[in-house]
Amino acid sequence: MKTIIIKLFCCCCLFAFTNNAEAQFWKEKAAQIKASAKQKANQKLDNKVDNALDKGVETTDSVVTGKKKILTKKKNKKGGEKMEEDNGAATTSEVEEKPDNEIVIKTNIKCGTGKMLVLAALQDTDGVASVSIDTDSGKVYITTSAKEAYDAASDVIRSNGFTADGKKPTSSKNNPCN
Amino acid sequence: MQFYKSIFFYLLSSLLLQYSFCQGKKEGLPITVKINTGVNISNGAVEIAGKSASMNNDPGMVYIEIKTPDGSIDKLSARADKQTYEYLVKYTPEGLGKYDVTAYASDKVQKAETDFTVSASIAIEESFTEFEQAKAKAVKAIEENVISISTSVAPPEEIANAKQKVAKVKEAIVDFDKNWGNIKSGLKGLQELAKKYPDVNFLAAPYMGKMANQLKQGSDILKQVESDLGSSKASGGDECNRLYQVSESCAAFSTGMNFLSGGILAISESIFIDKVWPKIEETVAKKSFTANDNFAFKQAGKTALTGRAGLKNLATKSFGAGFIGDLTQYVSDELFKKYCTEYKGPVKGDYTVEFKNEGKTYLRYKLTYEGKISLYARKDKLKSASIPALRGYLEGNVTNMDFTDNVWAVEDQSEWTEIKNQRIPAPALPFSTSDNDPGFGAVARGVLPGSFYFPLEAKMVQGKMVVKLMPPRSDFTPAYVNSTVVVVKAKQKPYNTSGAVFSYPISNAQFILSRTMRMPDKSPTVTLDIKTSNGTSTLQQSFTRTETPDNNTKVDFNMNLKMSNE
Repeated sequence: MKTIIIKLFCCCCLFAFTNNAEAQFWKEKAAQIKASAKQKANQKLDNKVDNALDKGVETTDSVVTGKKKILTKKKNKKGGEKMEEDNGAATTSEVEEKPDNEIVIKTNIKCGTGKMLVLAALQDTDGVASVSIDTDSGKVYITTSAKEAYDAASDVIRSNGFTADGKKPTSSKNNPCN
Repeated sequence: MQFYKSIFFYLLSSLLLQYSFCQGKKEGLPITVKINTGVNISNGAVEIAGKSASMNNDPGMVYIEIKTPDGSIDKLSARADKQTYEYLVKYTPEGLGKYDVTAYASDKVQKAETDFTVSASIAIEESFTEFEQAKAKAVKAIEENVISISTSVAPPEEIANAKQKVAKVKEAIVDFDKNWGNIKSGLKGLQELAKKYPDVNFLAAPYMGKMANQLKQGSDILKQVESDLGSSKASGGDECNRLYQVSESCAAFSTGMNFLSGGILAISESIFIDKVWPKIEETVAKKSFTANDNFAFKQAGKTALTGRAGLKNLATKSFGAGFIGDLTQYVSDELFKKYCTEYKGPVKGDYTVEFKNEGKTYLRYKLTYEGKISLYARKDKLKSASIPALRGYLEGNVTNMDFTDNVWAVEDQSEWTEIKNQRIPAPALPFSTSDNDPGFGAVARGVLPGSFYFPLEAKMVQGKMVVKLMPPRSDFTPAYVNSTVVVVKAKQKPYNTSGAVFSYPISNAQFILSRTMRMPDKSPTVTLDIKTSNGTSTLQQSFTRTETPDNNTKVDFNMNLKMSNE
């Protein structure tokens, strides 16, 4: 039984192979020519890019747009490598764009209870579009739709018993993180 | 023979892998997006939310682009929480029409898309009507079911008692309607002024939008009450099952009304006391209002404040469990306990999956779940029938998730240095929600992450209980996954860093429970022994099973189940 199954499998493979063999030959030939041309072009590009990046030079576009263009090596499906230009798509933490409308306030919010308290209060503050509180660093990240939001946010944090950018709390509320 | 055996194990392994583990690697940091607000009006706040992670130790930045109906692009940003990975950003649309939203994670590799439509402020009035209709229908459904079931199981004097309990609920609803009517009148007055004065519209729209959303969400809960009781009535025959559903629906009704009343009070405070009203008075009313408009403005405010005070008073003394609590207690204690026998008890178990590649473990997760099982039938039928039939449910939730993985057991690390590896286990509530429900009801519990609910059908045959697991009413969703965010930098070019997310699907509760109890696929049934002592019948069983379809896969199932009629 086992031998019959193996033989049947071999027959199927042979049939499929002979049918595709000719087409495969021409495909491979074309691919070889393409690959050879691409390799030459890539080598030139690789050298140029390496030289530029080693010198710490950014492309002209990056100076104009404020975005760094990074050339990343990505493996293609065939296992080869190709250079891809990543148009403004930041791939490092260093190039993360800091939006103009983000304000960061250093506080002493270091616990979950304090975080929930201030988060709820800030989300209800006029001009605040989004809030995130990092209890590891005590930083409050706020994106705003109004310039005066910094003062409003700072007041909210201080009125809940926390410091904001070194300014003391304005409320006698006990800091739940102490 | 060895050949067939290996084919069998290959198939079994494939099946298990398909159910339990299908690692999905996606280049780039994860990103999702959804719109939280169900009603979006011009100048109102639209809430855009989702999840993402970061490349470094700061909260992950999320970039959002919104294509407005006129084709222009608005850009927003937000930071995702470091613990929950969730972000929320408010956006104020101006024009009417469809808005396309695209969210990018901080590396801008992956994106997620959604859209929302901004309607004219008339949508608020539609939400008033929708809420009022949903409330009326839910009350009617509760009334009809309580009267119908009590007629079916109880003597005539009991039916009068049932009608009295229902009448009390309806009285509370009348009080609510009176006060809500006054608030609504104030809101409509404000809306009329907003149509005439753009500055009023600008100040009021965000809060009017909030109110519309609160009403929409509450209406959805009340609509569920009506739809659940409708199906309960249609199923007919089994009064105990219907009584259980009515008591759950009463809990859901309370949840809906609490949610609504709390929201209406908070938002009306912002509108009529704290924020909108004083600003209109200060800026627009003094400068631009005509004498008639000034009068209308003051009248609207007074009416709304009267309604708000009345609603606050009602909420303090009658809402919460008290609002419909008498009826809930009557249904679950007086009717259910009097006429039905219930076998109930706790269910606790765990499920562990471990996958290896060339001897290295690359994925292991253990989920622990807790819940309850209940089977019930009418007392008279349980005694008289030769093979009594029971109905019930098996409900629970994941209470703990241990998850470890090693992506480098299957990925080539030769060119990369790992700079961040952040595991994101599927969320688990650390307690059994069915045992610690503060009155939410099964509907609200069913939407919690990692929860499951299976209706059961059972028959008592010769001292044994044959229990059949019916198709789930809720189960783990496809979004319930463990995942890991990995950030790497190229060894050759250290400035070149990139992130990827590895997602590991979790077997659903149907698979876990049916396999644990060794239920056949075609008819998922289990037979439990009934032990009776001093008039109390107890069904107790432990299930333990280990499957090793091949050398690299190991799955452990454990469960303890106990129920009794004491």
